[in-house]
Amino acid sequence: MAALLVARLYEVAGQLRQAWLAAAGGLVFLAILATGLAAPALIPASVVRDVKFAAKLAPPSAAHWFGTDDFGRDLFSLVLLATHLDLRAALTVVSAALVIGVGLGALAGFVKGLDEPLMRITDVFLSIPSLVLAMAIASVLGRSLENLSLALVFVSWPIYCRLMRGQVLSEKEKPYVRALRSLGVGRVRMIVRHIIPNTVFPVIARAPADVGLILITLAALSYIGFGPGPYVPEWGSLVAAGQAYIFQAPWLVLFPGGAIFLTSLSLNLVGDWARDVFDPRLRS
Amino acid sequence: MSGLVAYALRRLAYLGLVLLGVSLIVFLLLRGMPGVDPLAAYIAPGLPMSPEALRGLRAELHLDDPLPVQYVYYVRDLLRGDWGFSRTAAQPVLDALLGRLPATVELAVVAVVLSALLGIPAGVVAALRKDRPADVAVRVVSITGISFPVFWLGILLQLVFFYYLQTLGLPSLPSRGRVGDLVALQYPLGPITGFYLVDSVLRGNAPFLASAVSHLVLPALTLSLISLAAVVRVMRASMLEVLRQDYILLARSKGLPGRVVVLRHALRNAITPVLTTTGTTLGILLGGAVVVETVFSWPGIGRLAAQGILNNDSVLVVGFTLFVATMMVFVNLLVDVLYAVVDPRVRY
Amino acid sequence: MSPRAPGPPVLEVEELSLELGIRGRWVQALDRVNLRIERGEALGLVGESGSGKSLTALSVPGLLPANARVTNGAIRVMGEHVLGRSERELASLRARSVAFVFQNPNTYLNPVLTVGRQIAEIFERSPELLDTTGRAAALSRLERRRRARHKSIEYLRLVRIPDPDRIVDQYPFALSGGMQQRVVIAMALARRPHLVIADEITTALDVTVQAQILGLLAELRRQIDMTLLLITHDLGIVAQLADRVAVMYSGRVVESADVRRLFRAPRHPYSRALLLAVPTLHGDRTVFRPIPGSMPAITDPPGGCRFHPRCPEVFGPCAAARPGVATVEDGHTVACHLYGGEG
Repeated sequence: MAALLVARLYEVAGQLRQAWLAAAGGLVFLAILATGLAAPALIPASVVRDVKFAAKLAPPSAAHWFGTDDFGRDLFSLVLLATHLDLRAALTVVSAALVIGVGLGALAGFVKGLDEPLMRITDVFLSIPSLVLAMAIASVLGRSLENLSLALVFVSWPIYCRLMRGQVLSEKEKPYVRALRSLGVGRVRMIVRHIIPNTVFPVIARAPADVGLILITLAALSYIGFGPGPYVPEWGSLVAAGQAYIFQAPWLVLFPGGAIFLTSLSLNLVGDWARDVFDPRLRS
Repeated sequence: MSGLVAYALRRLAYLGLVLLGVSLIVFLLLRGMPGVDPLAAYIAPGLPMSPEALRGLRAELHLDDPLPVQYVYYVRDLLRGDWGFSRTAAQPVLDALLGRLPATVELAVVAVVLSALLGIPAGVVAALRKDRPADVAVRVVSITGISFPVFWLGILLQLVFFYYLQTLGLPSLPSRGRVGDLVALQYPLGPITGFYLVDSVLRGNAPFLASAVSHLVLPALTLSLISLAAVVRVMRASMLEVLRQDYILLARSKGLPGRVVVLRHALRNAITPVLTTTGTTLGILLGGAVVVETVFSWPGIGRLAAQGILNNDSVLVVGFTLFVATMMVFVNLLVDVLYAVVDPRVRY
Repeated sequence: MSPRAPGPPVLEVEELSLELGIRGRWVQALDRVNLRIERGEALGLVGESGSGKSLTALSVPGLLPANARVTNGAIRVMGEHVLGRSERELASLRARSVAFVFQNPNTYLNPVLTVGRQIAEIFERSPELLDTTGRAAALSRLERRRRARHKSIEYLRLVRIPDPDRIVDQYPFALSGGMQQRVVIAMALARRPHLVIADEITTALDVTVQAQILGLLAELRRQIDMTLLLITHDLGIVAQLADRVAVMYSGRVVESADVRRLFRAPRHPYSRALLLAVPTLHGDRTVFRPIPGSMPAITDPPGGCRFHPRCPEVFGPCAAARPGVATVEDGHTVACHLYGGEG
């Protein structure tokens, strides 16, 4: 399986010259990711409680690169801390949803009896818009970042499940599978060594773009008011807090929002390219 | 045509089942969550109730019966129109939602129309001029669109078109509500359909119409961004796929002018995926409406739901979820039927 | 065979050379192809897959793929030059002069438009086809529609489609392969073209349907004096329908003759091998005499005569020099070193 991946990447590296946009996006995202990872080490958590009313609503300056908010806290530090929190949440959500979705989808594809019921279940989930369902779940569970993440996992797994199931079903019909079976290759070995590698990649290729999507959804939900409160920095709630002072201090809205936009954009550039690369129709 | 009717009925039956499934999820959220007291959603915090009142409430909600039985009562109530009472709206949930529905629908429809009017031609042009500047431009704009957080766009638009224009002394676009307060007072509108655009035309109330339109611009534009990017991508991809088909070569070989080939032969085949996308984007649009309505204080069901969340009004939020799912289901049915009209192969 | 009508040849292809862009390189796909079809004549263009016959055909109405470029030569339809024309002028040519019938009718008919619509739009584009008195422009839109539909049904009847009044409103997927092919033929005839190009039109059909379509074409030729360029790999079809034959191999026309002469006395070793390769019954055995080897890939052609690696009569000059075209008899040309000739 590793050999397959390497071969594919090699083939793809040749097209990399044309994919400079995606490469640029990838670099930007890695930079943001690095910042997010480093943030807790660089910035003391006490910043959120560093209330200095005297310095409130100050515009960007050398001392405060992004200015200060209505509590006088340094916006740059807040945005950085939020990067850490939001990225961690989004990545966790997508990973969990992938694992659950791909697992169940593969099951649906292989086990005849499970296919119908699983598809009905995903149909039901998919008929509710993701934001709305996430809202409903989170409102029942209570307002916190963890509950929001959990709600988003519930909302995201059905799509991966369906995709994986579709891939498995079409892969099973391919002539090489029958050929291998007639040669006596065992079922489990076939699944693990052949079918899974050929089907999983297109599904995983959606992950980068979906991380961007989850990020935006997370921020939107906390903007509406699901957010963890003024002492936990999160991009969406930072924007919400800033909206009241939008005219006097637009930077409060511009920087956190810009962070979301930049992260999402870089992820989408990578994701677009990843999808093209792993599109099963383009491989032959 | 009977093929079409039979098809529609089959879809309807299937979608009915889906709705039942949604009602089950919603019910479980309300009553079946481990560790959450189902009664909590019905009690206003800070308003203590006597033990008898609590017992009465429990009996009314059949909370002492096993879950499956509760579910039966729940579905029965839903079908009878009893979706519970919302603390936030101080109204029964269904009435509260239906009352604010026209505002959201008006917003959503205008947004969809905008995204179609802008997106379809953009996608076609991008496909016809593949890899040339026009195509690259369209794709860049489309990716930027998808990456833009909707609420941020709304706020930025407010900043520019409301605040900054005002400081410059220029006429600005309103950022709150559906219609100017002064206008509503001076030129009151007797509602007929609840859609301000339609009603003000029907009643010949020009100032109201003008105000309603100007209030629609920013929120509709913001909301349309969500589906615009998707429409452009799908239209472009679909068009490219269709243009490669053999029947396009035959159409060209008949000597048909390019425009005819594109519009009649290619577009008709290429537009079907866009229709299905519209169905799915409607769901995202409804979710986005929650955010956009909050940003612009638009009095629709989305904003009501957001308020319900802040108020811990689970009955309302859950009712909103079911309501939205029902709307989605019917729109998807409509899309399926439209698909069958455009592509005759589907009917059989 | 119908008597020769006076006038310029319907099709003249002169020294046509064409290159294809494959994986970043330009490779020669057609090498100085010469063809000529007189009015009322049916020319069979024969060859294996990859011989260049489809490319030759596609270049006449200007429907070459984007990665093809003509490097030399001329094509004239009814005396008018075709190469280098603008897309607009070519569209005009396709609408009235040259009708192409493709191989697989299933994918060549638009699935979302009715059969009638797809025929009628030809009349929409060229309303003069509707009216024999010359007042086409004066007709109202509605009247034109009505007549177009009427004419469409007429043409469906012409190609022997049963129950054309019903079929005209059907969608392509409701028709069988044979019927679909007839519809495509009807679309070609509706334009009353000078030349009909039929590219492997029976290859995708099963044998009985194939026989029907060929019978239809033979009848139509008698009925309406059609000039036909028939592209095929099947010698049986050539024997049935064609007046003259041109044999292509790896981008070149290797032999060109009257059909009876070619079948009786083929000159080029490849044509001979082709005719021999048709399976025959000997007693109760089927005898196969395939040509050894396979056609070279156009990206890697052999030097000199392209057939020489497989030729049973290869000798001295074959590997070194490209054979010239020799005229062995009236109307019979061969490109082979055995017969001399100038390149």
